[in-house]
Amino acid sequence: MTGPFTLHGALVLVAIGVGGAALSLRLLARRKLTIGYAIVWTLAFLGLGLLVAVPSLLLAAGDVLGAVRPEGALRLLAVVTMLGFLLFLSIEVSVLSRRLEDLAQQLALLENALREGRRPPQDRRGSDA
Amino acid sequence: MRGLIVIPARDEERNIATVVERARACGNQEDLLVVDDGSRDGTLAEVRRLGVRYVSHPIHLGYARALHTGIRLADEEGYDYLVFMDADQQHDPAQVSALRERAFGPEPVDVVIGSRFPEGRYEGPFGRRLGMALFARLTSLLTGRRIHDTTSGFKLLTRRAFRLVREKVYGDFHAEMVVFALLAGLGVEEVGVTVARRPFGSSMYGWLSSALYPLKTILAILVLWPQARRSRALHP
Repeated sequence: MTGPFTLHGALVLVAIGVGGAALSLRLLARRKLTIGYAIVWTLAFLGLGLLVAVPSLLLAAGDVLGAVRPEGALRLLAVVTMLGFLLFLSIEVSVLSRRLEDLAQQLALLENALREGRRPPQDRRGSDA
Repeated sequence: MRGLIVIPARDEERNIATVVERARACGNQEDLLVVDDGSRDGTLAEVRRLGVRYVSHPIHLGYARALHTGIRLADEEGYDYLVFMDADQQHDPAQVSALRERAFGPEPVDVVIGSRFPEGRYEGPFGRRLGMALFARLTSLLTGRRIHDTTSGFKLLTRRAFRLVREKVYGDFHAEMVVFALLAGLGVEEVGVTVARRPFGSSMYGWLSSALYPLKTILAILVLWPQARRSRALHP
């Protein structure tokens, strides 16, 4: 009934799954997470709980991934999910960093134009520097 | 023809006055612009005291961004060419004329590099010499042109060149820019210049940035290569 986990272990993992999903929703409600991230984390935690609560799902995932043991499939899924999410976060940070630089540069040029009594520079958006 | 000398500066309080005063004393026809990149010392105060034109980044954005700010301003104000020059007294402003004469002489080109090693005899620490030789070799391999000093910060770009590279900020406008310019069909030449030691302050390249520099440049080249090909196809 509990697949590769003991009943105790399965209950703990399901509790983590449900609790994690609830935490994501609470963080969303308190505006500590944007909705995109909240969706990702809610699905990730619910997915964890589901895979543990429904052993046949975990076995099926193991078959698809070619894992010898079902818990190996869970580990592999976790690693791939984490790598994917880290890459996603790297992209987010890079984009935000670029926007901050653009903003600071535009501010500097505007301040210069103001100081010299000139027309502000045009902001040529659209190209990715 | 209107030219702009762009001097990116960060924490060059002890050097910037000499650089600006020497540039003024040369009688160069170019306008001067100091780009203060979020200096933490008295660089900005010195720049204001000197009465030289400046743009001041509110936070540190990096060398490449400071050059990019200069390019943006030069583009907006219709300059025909710009010259990048360091703020650490290593570059001699009197040699700007040599760059200008090569760019607009009988065989005009779009990019003139003030080369520390026009004959390819590199000096300095082993790691730096190896890096310079490596990038010179790589540039030659990719473009068929031998450029000895691909990491010089003393260079002239015509309007055609700086408008083309304006949004290609991946590295520090060094080897990757040279490769991009050549592959995009721009004329690039070197002119021998003398470079002094910086009397005050330290290089912007610490050990970590020095270690990452080759990887950063190679990745920038990989990214810019297809873009250069497309530029050449669009603007033969």
